[in-house]
Amino acid sequence: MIARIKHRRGGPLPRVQSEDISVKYTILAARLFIGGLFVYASVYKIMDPAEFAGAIRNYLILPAAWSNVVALTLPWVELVAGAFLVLGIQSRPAAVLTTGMLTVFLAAVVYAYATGLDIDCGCFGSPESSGGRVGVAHIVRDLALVLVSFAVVLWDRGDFALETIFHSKVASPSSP
Amino acid sequence: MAGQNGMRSVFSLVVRAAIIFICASLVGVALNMASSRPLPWVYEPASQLELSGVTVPLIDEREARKFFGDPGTVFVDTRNEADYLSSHVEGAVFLPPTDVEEKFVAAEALLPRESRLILYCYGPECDMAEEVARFLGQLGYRNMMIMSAGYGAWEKAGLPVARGKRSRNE
Repeated sequence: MIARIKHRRGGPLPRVQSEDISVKYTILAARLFIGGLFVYASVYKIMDPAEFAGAIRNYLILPAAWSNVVALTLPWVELVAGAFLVLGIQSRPAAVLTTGMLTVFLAAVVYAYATGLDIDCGCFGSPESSGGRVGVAHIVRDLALVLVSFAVVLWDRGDFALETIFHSKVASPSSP
Repeated sequence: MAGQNGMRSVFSLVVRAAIIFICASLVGVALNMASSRPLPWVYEPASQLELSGVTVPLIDEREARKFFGDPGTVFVDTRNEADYLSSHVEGAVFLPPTDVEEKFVAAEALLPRESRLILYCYGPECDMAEEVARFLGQLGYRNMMIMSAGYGAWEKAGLPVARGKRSRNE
């Protein structure tokens, strides 16, 4: 945003452009990383919701009765939000969802660690890929992911997005 | 004015996120309804298991508490040794599923065949207690229960615990 204002006011053009471009690429990388991670994480959970429901119950946070509903719906939110981020469809609302989910996961892992629960994190659905028992590494990883995802909410301007490409083509049809 | 615009933009962002959330959730709901083996919407824990031909009731920590102190009941801790030594249900006998046959030799004297055994491990989805119950069922134990809520629930409820190895007077 600062770069754009400087540009309008006639600031040093080449530097402003390069800063703007580096922000664009950084946000694109963040979008692809978080989006790809969510799509990957959702696949096992969608394929085996009963196992994911078990992982939810192990955290002893939600009432056990709700675990199936959450296990049946949340992975689809993960998949759609992740795919939207990768493709650049409604990137900022999708990033709001990934940031919200990551914050909830972070809170759950902190709770499990603080109360000494010796459980599998269930982060990626299958026990082999979930990264094992909850620990400090999971907390640090989740915190970093929250920050990266939140950066997309704050600074994504629709660059490299399917929506923007589509809209620009509709607005200015290509010349013959 | 700028503040109003900012609020409006945050509100629009949240509304769009909520719409994506609801639509994606509905996909999950619809696919479960269309599935040939749908998952029940409300989870209900099984009340008993059949292990080695023995019916083993699943109980929670409050029911298990009723049997605590009963001379005919023995609690069996099936978790890892380090966790058992760290703390366990007071009086519990250590018998994990790993090398269970060897471990049983040491524990057998504390597990009379006619006694009621209450087995437990970490929590609802832990199957270590089931594995040990299956083994004990093959040996002829008929009166077994699994405290499926696990040791975590027992400890959380503030029920009696002990540390280290089981002492003679526990």
